[in-house]
Amino acid sequence: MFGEFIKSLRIKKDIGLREFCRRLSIDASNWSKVERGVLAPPQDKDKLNQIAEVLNIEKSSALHNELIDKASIDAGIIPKDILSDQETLNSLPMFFRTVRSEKPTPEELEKLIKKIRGDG
Amino acid sequence: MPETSDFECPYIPKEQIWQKAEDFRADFWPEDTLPVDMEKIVERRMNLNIEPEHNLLSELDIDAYLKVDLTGIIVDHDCYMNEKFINRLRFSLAHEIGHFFLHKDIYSSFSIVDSSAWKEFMKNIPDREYGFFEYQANEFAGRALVPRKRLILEMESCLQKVQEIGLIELVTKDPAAILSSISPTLCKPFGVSDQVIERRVEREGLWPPKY
Repeated sequence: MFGEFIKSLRIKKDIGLREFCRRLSIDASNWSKVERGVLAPPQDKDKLNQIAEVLNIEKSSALHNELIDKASIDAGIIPKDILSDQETLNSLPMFFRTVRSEKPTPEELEKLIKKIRGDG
Repeated sequence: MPETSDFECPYIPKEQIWQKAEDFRADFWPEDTLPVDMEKIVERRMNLNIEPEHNLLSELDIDAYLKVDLTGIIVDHDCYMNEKFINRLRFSLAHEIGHFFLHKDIYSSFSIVDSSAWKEFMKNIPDREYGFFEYQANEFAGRALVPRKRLILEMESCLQKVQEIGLIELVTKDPAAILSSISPTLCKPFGVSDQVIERRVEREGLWPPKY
């Protein structure tokens, strides 16, 4: 997910692997594995910001958030901003159950409706 | 899966290899500028991965090889990252792309999982087949990187200089010596080595020049 995402952005910007790795001072052998999903993406915020910078992605833009989120998800980590929001965190089990096509309880449904309305 | 000793590389006439190289350049390098940017073609136009691997050259004596699943080219990490080897890398990539277009069927019939297996595979190919296999990819790479028309133009310009310094008679008396003296200049616009350019002028029947 993260690897393919970065590679497609890099190709779109017409930046070769060598140039990309040189600009970021990262090992091209490892980075090629990250892009192919063989190695997990970096989690270091500064490194992710540098990657965004090389790809000309504005900080706090939707694309920047997507980059950070995909790096977390690929490493099996829930993004930090989600973890810091207790209410959203509490809703995650319900979300997972829904994804697994398990029926939410009436209480969970009520919570979800409130959340969607913005008054929960 | 076939045995390595069963490996067969059919003879392909050079004209057919050249035509494939011309078609390749027209399709993937339509800007027709020099030097041909193989890295760009491989990664960004053919959508193949470039996969740098440490110590490929030092431990296995391999610059690069095409993966048998045809998804990418493994290259020696240090050669890849070092600007000094850019021409060598260009030729290596063009050579592997030659295998891609000429030997796709051969590749798909063998299962090779890593660099050591690749080295072992190449070692066990019968000599005659290995010779054809590598010669054909080299011929493809040479023609892809050194378009004949441009080569003729560059050669004319070099010969003009030879004439200006009063050595034109040596072209017929000692063509090899003159070719060696002009090849370092001749190879520059193509981004290949002087050995590659010397081979090209000979293979293309351009040397010694006919007046």
